Amino acid sequence: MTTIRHAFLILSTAAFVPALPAAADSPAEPAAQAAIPAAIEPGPPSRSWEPFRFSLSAEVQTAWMLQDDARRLWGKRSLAGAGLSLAYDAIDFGGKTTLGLDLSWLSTTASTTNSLDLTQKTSTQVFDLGLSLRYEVFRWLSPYARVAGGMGWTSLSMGSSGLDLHDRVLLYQGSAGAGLLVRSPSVRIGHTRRWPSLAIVGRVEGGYIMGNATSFSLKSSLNGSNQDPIPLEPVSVGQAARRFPYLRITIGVGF
Amino acid sequence: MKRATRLFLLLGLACQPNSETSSSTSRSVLPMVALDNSVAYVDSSSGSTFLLDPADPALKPRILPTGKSPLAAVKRKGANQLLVLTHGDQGSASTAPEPARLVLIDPASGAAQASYDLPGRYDQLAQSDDGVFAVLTYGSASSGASGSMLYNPNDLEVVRLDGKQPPLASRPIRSLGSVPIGVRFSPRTTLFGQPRTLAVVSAVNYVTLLDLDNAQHTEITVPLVPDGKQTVTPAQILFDMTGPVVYLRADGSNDLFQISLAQSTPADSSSNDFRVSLSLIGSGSAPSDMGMFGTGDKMRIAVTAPGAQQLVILDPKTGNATPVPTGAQVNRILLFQGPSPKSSEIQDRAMLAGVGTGAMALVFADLQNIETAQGLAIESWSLPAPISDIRLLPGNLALLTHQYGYGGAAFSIVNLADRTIEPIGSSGALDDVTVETAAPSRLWGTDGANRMEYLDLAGNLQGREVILDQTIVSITPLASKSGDGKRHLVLEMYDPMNVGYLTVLDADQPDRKGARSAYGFLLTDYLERGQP
Amino acid sequence: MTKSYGLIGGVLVSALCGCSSGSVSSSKAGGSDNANSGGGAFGAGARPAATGGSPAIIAPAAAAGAAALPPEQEQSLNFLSPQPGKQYVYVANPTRDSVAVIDSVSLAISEVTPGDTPTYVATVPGEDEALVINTGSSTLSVLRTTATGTTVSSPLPIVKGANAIAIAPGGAHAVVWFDAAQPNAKALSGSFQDVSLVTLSPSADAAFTVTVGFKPSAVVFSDDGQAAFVVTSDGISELRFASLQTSVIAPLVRIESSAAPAAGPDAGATSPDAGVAPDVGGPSVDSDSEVGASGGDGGGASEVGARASDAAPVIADATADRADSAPPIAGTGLPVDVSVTRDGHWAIARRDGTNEILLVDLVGNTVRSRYLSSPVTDLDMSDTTDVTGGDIHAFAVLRDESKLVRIAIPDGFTATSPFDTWQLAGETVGLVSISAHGKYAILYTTAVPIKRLVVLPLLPSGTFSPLPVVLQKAIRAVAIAPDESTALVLHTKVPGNATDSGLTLADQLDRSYGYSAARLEDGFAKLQLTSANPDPFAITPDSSSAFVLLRDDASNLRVAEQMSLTTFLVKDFPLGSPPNAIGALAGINHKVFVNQVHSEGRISFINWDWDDGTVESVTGFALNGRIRQ
Repeated sequence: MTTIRHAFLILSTAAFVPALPAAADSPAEPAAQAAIPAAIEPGPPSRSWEPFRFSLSAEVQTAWMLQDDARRLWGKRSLAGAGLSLAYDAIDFGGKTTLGLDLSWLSTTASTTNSLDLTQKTSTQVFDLGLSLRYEVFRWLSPYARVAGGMGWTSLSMGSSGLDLHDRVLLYQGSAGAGLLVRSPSVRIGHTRRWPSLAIVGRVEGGYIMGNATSFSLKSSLNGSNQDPIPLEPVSVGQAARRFPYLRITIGVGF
Repeated sequence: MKRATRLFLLLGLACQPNSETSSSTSRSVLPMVALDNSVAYVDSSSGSTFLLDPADPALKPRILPTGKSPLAAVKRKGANQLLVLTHGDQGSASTAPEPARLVLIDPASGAAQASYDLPGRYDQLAQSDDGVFAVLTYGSASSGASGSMLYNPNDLEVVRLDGKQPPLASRPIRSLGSVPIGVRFSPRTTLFGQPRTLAVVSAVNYVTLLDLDNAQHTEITVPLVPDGKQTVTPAQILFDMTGPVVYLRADGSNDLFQISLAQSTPADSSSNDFRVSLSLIGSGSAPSDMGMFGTGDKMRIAVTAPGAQQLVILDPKTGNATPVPTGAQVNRILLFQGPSPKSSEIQDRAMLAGVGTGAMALVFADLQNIETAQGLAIESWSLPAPISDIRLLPGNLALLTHQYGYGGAAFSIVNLADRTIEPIGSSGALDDVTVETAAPSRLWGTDGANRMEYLDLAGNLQGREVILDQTIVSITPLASKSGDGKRHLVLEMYDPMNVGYLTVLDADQPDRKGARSAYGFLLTDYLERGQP
Repeated sequence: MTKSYGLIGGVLVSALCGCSSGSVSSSKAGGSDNANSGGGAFGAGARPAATGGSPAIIAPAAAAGAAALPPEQEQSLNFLSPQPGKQYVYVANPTRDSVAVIDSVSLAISEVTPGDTPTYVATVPGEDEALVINTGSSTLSVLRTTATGTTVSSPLPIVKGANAIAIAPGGAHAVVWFDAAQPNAKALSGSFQDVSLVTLSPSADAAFTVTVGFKPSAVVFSDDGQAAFVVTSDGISELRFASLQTSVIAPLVRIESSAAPAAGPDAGATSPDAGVAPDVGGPSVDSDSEVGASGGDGGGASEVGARASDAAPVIADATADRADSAPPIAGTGLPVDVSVTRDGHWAIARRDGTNEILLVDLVGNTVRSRYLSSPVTDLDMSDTTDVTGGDIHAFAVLRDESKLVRIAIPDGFTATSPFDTWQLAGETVGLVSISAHGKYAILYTTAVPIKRLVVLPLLPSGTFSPLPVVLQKAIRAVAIAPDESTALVLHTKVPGNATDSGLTLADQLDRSYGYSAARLEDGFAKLQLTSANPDPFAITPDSSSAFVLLRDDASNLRVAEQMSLTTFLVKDFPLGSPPNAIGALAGINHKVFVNQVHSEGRISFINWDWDDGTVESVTGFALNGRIRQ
């Protein structure tokens, strides 16, 4: 069901884009504009398809847990996270090919009742640095390929508050994917050129993430308030693989 | 605006909350089983057995898949092994059925030594004291107990655990209108030229005798009432293998039942080489406890009749009953051999107590020649408080547990030879009292919170305490030393989440400093284990 | 409501079982002692009188003109008590339609269901074979027990209301009849003239009915077990088994009741050897009798109405009795104390309350009479023809004259034949018991509290040396051990409390219960006082011990007391429940059984070896019968 919704979103987004105002950069227009004497009052905002250097997006990423241990860790087959990403077009190879860099942060949290009847909470915070190569097919549509690497941490907690066992482990991961970038024409938000032009940017990307297996050794803060508590041995609950396909959707502004 | 709304709606659909509740089964963990130098837990949800060695610095259990739906786990008597009884799985369209099993696990190797597929989903397990035989029965005539649609509640399984063949013998036994409610085993003795163990299967209004070494022989059904107008439930069984005779006391009967065995020529291959005869021995009114003493022609049975405040001495040969007034409502009898304050001779004697009757007296009886001496053989002492339990200790001692609230005495230590009673006070009621009869003889208890108290029973009766971090639920001293050369004391702590919480101490020198705890060990390798 | 075994046993007054061979005098010829009934009381008064209940009291009318002594008391057997075989004891439970078969060795009990309301049981002596009367269906079942179990024959039809069983020596035949004198026998509940003749064979038990004289009272057998003689009020019916294959009217040797007083003793005889008084209208009997012979010469050949003479006894030191001028004594006239010789040729009887004794020729079907000088209070027979040189004698007690008369059979019943008379001066004797092999006769009385009995050695012939035995208490019954060495004497008790103040020792003893053992050779006797009436009792087949049961429910006394007949020492065996029957098993295990009153049935087996004394009890006959082995 989740996949269907995402597909619907993608299609809707693709259908939505053409609804954006069309870029109006036609040759007939400059003559019409030259006949009008320059006015003292500022003119309407200008639109252009000029490339933007930066984009700031909010992203949603869905991952599918294929391994049993990962499913047990998260308590479900698929899960979604949200985050932010900042992209920078670093190198314009001229023409339509662009090499970009992006920095993203993704947070994923799941709460479930596991098969041991325990409340289980899992969360992941990942910081990724990505490199993407984009080719402009249309002014508004550019497929790209992206590789990224990142690190973060995962925390696992089982049990009810006060009696719970928890652990946090670092994680490393790399990902590879491909997607489509769609954009709207840039619109200058101000009257002068000092004001930036903003475009709406959206990305749909699918790929595969591979990371280190996370091994948890749960500890309890059961007796933490005691001055000299009896040592509590941690409990190794095993490790969960971190290899899964993902679908990432971002939407933001380019400037 | 409309477009923006649509966009955010779509994004919202993508961001579905990650809080689904995954399907889970109701989970239960069977009570901890204390083995010789380790403990075991059986998780009925996952069908796994957790073996925990207190000597392990990490207190990490070894996990062994045992079988689906385990419902009973006990230590095999006479051996350091764990017996687990499972119901298996009836299977489904997509799941293969799994038979019910009895699994024998060796904690040292952490592996199953033997696994017996059972033809029925039995839910009661009884084993002989030497651990050679186990008898599996259904605990109820209702299908709810076994989960089976149709089954014979009088079907039982004889399992031979010592490796001799055949290991299994299915034995549907004759029913006179009831189902088995318990199984008792005789000591293993040479009977009629062959070493054998007898099983007495109790049911309402009758018992069944089985020769376990010849399990396919016909069972012998002994009725306890001549007709259906009375209900008699077997309560206590004693074996006199010199007879051989089985003595049975039953609730609802004023008689003791004497089942005598005599050798006979079997009629065919399925017949026994012995026959039984039944005799009733009148024992007074509503006997509550019995014990055998003496040998040969001087063998007698002492029976407490609390209603009549009597100790009745029965001569099984003649059926003669000698009532001896005790002057107290005693309902329990502890037999021992030892001296008395008046005589240094080691003789048969008894301590009689009224457990739960409110009696404030303790009675001693010199059993030799009591039929003649009668009242002269009885001596009575007053108690500080009524008794809720009595227990025999080594060294001719007995432990009385008092009902709390009567002046502070929690226990009394009775010296049976001197007939002295030493009250042991307590500021509060003790929970989960455990008595260690093997040396060093100790009494362990908790205050219902995080304080453990113990008392050396054979020494100067000095009490000590150890403060722990959480509420103590049970105290279990292990019998043998572990690999680290220490004998451990295992305390189960308050664990509402059933994740496993133990604290381990040195049983011989319990001290907080040497304590270690493991919390959540039942979650070990949770991510890697198979689905329940 | 389930009738308990105890209640059934409680109906029993005493259950001395004649199968314990030492318990009664064996003077009568052949036959199972089980066949005893109270009415005829043949075989002498060697059995103790009943205590309570309905004893079979034979009450001869007091002799006219003599002191009015009460009748002597004898006892009948009761078939309701457990019956022992060789190793097994059989206990009937009419309410449960079952018979419990109890193994005295292993105490195993099996329950068999022979028929509808099995009530009366008798065992074949020395065998584990029992006959059971099923009163509900008027049938007889035969139980045969081996180590593998008990077989039950198909029920055999028998006479309606039958309540007595007599088994022939050898166990090949039995006679089942209705004994009106038995406890609980109701008038018109049975046939008064039918008996069932049973042939016992493991492969072919059979029974058919034979008509006999009116109201059978006893059945005796010839020693070879081939003939039975049914004592009836009309006479003696003969059942010769070889010739009886189907229902018939059994030949009857009629013995009429006397309608007129019998003539007294010889009034005019001068010769001490004369012995025949004239016939004064004695009853006519069979055709070959010499009716109407008149006498005076003492030498008539008539054997009818022949009266006893007071001829001098053959024994040298016996006192010659002169003729007594007392007239013949009339009484009820019923033939009682019937004994049959081993060969079944002769039977003797006395007419109750009279001085007439009868000799019945069972082959020739004739009856002869002899009249003695005073009423005969007891008649017994000694038949030692089983040994070389043995003979047969009848012994009659003339209580009024304190005489014992010995008459040779059959020669002594001719008119002129002499007979021996022993005058026991100063003694009051009314009953006689002859020991098993005729060595001793014990004379005593139960009519009056005489604390003496007389032991009279009978062998060798020609000697007369009565040995008075002084006892401390009055006599109720006497039994002679099978080895003829000792006798067990049960005593009476005078009403009152022995512990009352002011009593002499004799009074205290009189008011106490007790029994004595007497050594017959020298008359040594030992009194054993008891706390309760010692009854019933049994003497072991080897004559080593006697057992008495002591029961007093008020004081919770439940004891089986063993007395060694060698040392006269006693040993008590406490019992779990009140005892009501005792018997000795015939096997090699030396056990007596004691049946006790218990709702579930209880029986104890006591090893009678003095050094053993092992007691084993088993309770719960019905439960044992339901054990599925």
